Amino acid sequence: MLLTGAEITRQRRNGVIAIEPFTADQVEQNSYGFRLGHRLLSCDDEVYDAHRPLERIAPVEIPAEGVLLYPNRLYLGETLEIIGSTRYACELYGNLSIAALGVWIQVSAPLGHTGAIVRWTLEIRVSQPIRLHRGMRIGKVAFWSVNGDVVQYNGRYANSVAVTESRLCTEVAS
Amino acid sequence: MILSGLQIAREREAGRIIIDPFDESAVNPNSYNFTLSDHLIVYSDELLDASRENLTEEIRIPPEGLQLKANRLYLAATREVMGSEHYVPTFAARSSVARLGLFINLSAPLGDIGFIGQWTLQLYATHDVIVYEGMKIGQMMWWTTVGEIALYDGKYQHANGPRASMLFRNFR
Repeated sequence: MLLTGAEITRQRRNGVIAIEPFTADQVEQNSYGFRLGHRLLSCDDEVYDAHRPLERIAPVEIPAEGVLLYPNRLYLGETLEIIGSTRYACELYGNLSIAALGVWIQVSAPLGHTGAIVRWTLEIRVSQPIRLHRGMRIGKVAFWSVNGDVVQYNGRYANSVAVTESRLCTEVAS
Repeated sequence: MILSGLQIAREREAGRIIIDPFDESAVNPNSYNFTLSDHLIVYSDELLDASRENLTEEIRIPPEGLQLKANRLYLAATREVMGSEHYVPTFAARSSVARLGLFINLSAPLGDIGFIGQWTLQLYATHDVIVYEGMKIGQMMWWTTVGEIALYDGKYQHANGPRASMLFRNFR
């Protein structure tokens, strides 16, 4: 079952859900409206190789006047908030206002595992050139109750506090 | 938990889910197939700014259909007014539509409890495709909740036709 906004607030008070920073006016009917963080990363490799580390590029700070994004290019952004739960699974979606501007905030990967309490990396893609601003309300995180014994996430992105590029290459048998 | 199609029809009968107009043949095992209205909007300018109001232009889908260009954003709407004060709605493309390479939302499937209106769809084709008014384009699902319910009363409530983004209002 999906948690209502009141239940998200209550379980955060109980310490079962983490959302930091948290403001009551970002609580929605059945989600919490998260904001775009300050760092953005875009890799320059002409070809991404699932078996090799990407050319590491330091994330750039989004300036006060915003950042211009272009179509046909993948940008990695981050949530401003640290979000997660030791009891629930979560899913991160765009909100209507950002989707109606032609912006994806993830590329078919909405699921956040129980136990992952992190600053989430967003896969941002745009359908036409657009200026985005740091701190803008960009998405909705929803929490799902879990059926069965709960296992805590301990994967390669555990404890992420900043935008993180794909580490799929670490999966390759050496 | 997700509602079954039978339960969606039952809850609609009981007034706990709104789907108007309603067509019994559009009920699926876990969803309801909604249809495309003839009303589309596109942004007038190539460059958008999330902090400003972006101008739009209207397009109507003619009876012979409209060819959507690949890699271009069109905002569309459902013909049906849909919503619920009891269940959380999420929507997706029908598989048959997705197999034509057409997105109907851009990573934004989640609705709010209490929103009742025509839903804005983000049509984005990965391949040129002709669409028609009234085609069954997507499916609405409903989920049960835990916790106290507060109803949506936001900026898109009672939407009639496609709505351009009102994100700029957050910047005032």
